Amino acid sequence: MKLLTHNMLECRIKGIENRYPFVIEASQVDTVEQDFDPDFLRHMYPRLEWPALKAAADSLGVTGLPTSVSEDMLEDEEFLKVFHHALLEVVLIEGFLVCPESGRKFPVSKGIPNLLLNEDEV
Amino acid sequence: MFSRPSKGEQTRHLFIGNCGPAVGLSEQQCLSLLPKAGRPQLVVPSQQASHIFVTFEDVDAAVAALNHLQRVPCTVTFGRSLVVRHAAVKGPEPMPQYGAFTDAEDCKVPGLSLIKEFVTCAEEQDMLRAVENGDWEALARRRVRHYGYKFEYKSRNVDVNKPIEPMPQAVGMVMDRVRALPGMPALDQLTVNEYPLGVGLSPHIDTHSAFKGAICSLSLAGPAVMEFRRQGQHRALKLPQRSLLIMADEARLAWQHYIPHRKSDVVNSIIIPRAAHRISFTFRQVWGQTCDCPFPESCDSQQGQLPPTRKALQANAPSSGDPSTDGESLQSSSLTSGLLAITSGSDITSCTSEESGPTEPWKSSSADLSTRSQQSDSNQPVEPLEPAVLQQLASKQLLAESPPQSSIEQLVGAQKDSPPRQTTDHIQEERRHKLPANSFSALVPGPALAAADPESSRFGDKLVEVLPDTDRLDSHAAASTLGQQNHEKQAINASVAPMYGTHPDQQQGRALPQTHEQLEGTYVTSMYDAIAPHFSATRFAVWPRVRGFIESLPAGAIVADVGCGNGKYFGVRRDIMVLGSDRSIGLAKVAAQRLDPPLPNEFTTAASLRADVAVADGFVLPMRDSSCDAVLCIAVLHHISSVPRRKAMLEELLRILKPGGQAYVSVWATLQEDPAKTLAKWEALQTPSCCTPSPEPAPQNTEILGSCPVSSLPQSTSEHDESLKHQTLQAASGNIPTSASRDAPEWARPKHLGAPFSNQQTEAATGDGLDVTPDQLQGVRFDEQKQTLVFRRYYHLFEEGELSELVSSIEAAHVAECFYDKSNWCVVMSRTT
Repeated sequence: MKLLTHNMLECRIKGIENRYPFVIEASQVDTVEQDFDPDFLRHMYPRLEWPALKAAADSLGVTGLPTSVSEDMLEDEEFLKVFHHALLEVVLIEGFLVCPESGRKFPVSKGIPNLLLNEDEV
Repeated sequence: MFSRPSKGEQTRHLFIGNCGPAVGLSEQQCLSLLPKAGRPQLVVPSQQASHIFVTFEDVDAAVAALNHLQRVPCTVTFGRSLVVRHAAVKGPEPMPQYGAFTDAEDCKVPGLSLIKEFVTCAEEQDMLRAVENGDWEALARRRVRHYGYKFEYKSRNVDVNKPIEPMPQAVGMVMDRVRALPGMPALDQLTVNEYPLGVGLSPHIDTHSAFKGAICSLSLAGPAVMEFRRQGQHRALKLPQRSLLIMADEARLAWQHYIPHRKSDVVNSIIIPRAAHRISFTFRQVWGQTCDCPFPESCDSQQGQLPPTRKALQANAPSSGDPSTDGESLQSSSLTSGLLAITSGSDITSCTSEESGPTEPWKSSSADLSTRSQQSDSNQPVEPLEPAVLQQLASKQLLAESPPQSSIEQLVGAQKDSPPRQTTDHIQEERRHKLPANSFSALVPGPALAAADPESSRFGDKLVEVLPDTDRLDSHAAASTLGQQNHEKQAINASVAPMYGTHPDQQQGRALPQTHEQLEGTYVTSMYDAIAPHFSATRFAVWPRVRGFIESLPAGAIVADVGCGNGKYFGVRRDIMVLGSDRSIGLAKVAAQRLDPPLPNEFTTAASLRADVAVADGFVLPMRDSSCDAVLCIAVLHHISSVPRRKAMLEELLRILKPGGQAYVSVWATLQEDPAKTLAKWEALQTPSCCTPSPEPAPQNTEILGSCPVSSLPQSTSEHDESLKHQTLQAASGNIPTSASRDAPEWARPKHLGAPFSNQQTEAATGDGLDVTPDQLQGVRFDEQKQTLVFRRYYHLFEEGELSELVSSIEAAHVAECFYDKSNWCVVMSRTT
């Protein structure tokens, strides 16, 4: 699971307030090369919750992401490379996505998060 | 084949005695005796025959020819008087055949050529001897062996990093000669196929990325007629014994080639019996790079990479294998010619195809069978599922006692090698909770159910020609049972355990799902989990209208593919992000294999796709509100078993869409384009009732479901069309409140899957990667006649206007487009607020 995907997901357990973002507990993280496409990053940027990306990257030990970003940085190739790497190339293979409120753990296995809920959670 | 007609009957076939090879008349001479009118086709029963048969277009032509022949002067027949009378055909009339050309040039297929007498008789014998002994791999109906590199039928590909035994010397010399032909690639791989009489080759295009450039095939031991087709065009070419066929360029990349399963061919109007067997030597150059040919519609690289199959990944996979693909895909590939079906990989043959070929030739030879079973055994690292167990399954439709643990593990197949935590836990959970309840072992017969179908009488009028895209259509598992995967909850679910736990006899052999969740869990999710790897190998055609939708999106779009199946839409564009999700863990795993770059080696630089996969329920998607620009929900909603549930899923799709964003939703239509190929294969199914499972009508449920239980259906399959139709009609005339017709009919779709249990095919049922857990056996049936496992999936077929009405009933939705496309109803809906 890429951090881009992580940025789009939230815990859908019924009746909780604080669903986003998932806390990541990683036991295996890989790097998978992706085509570097600055335009793609510029398109993605306004869609992202930056603090969630930053926190996720931090929790996986991915360094170099600034705490806050501004539009003009999207022309800076140095920044874009770091952004690209964190957003697309870092892949959570094994671990858990943890609901920030309930602490419910959703397993991630072979890169696939299982986000099915129990009957009493919906 | 031919017999005497009843007295005085005139037919379009003639028997001509005192004529034929045994009396010194060649086929051409026989043909010259006949009038040209009526397109006579000659049948020469054998080279020892002193009679021939001739088939004409119609009876009149045959009568005219009969009158003509009785006046043929004896000088033409070398003094013989002919005996001419009508003949009748035993059994069904032969299929129409395309007359074959004898020269490749006449085929007008760019890139196709044929060199006759490419090898001498002596070389032919040497080559046949060189491959005679050793490890042949048994396929469904023929056998095969490889040199240089091994072609994997499940992945339709070659591992370029794993060379195997080199060519035998006798072959190498001929191969050098082939390599020396102009424009030939550096051939380094040889596949030898032995075709018994009557066995052919299913239509396919060899995987583009697997092999580079031209493909050559030498026909030894006997001739063949190979057919070629592309976009409605059709050609046939006779491949004489010892000839070399070369498929290059368009012929190799865009034309499907195949050999029909039959015992005779028509060449120059003469019906020629096939040889007892034919052995082909196919030379190719392995490649393993992405292809950028100008034929994207048939190009695996441009359609998104195919994931390696579980079988390919199995380190200790036995080398023998049955690439049994399912009947559906074969039909799809043969009937939607040129549209989307690409049966790639050189040899996907089905022993269970609905388009039944000749009888299983291997079984005719006990010697063959024993040889093969030895091979099979020696290659099997683990014992296959006990045939006895399966027989029991077959005869009783249930397992009366717990199958041995090893059998179950076999059924669960490759999970042993890479235990996916979820599923394994799930199984263990099943064991823990269900064994005591005596349900683990109970294979309840596929609930013998019936549905009412008030509309069935209309099908015949409406249904016309083409098969639906079975390919993509059912490639998705719907979201369904909430929390089924959550063991702690589900496994001790009181309503489930007693129902499935009771011995089937106590319920008159019926165990009916009691809730929509259970029905969908049993007949949708579990089925897809069970067949996922198999299923993926046969479904990867990109559906053109969906592709169009994806291509219309802006760059940088975030697209949710809900019910992503094997993820075949992940690779359509590289400048968007696809968030795939599927309720079936099995399918999610298959889809995830696409995310890895294909065949990493020094040649490939292909990067990972911009996509991810999650296991998630379509009713409770994990995406944030308004996070997606577009949603795909292809062939999912028809797996959902009630109106409120279907509406709820649509609303969930709208929730994750940003306002103005669009969702493409497609479902199967009641209006199928080919009743013979679709509805005939369906089994009516009762939707859940809250009351005790019972064969009696339960009208109170029909208000919700629009279908009501009637007398139980027998184990209907396509062979039982009539009984199915009959019973369906009975249901229709009986108990259905018309107000509820909107929701009828409910269907389960039988899916014949590989897996006969003769020796060479056991592996197909087990090592083939079928993940069958006991719970899933609820919906699995053994078809005794076909010797296959039948996996049945639940469908709700949509009537005209039904989907758009459903969408219109949702406040936040606007129907932007609604259309019928190849047996599907499709709606593009946008989120308004």
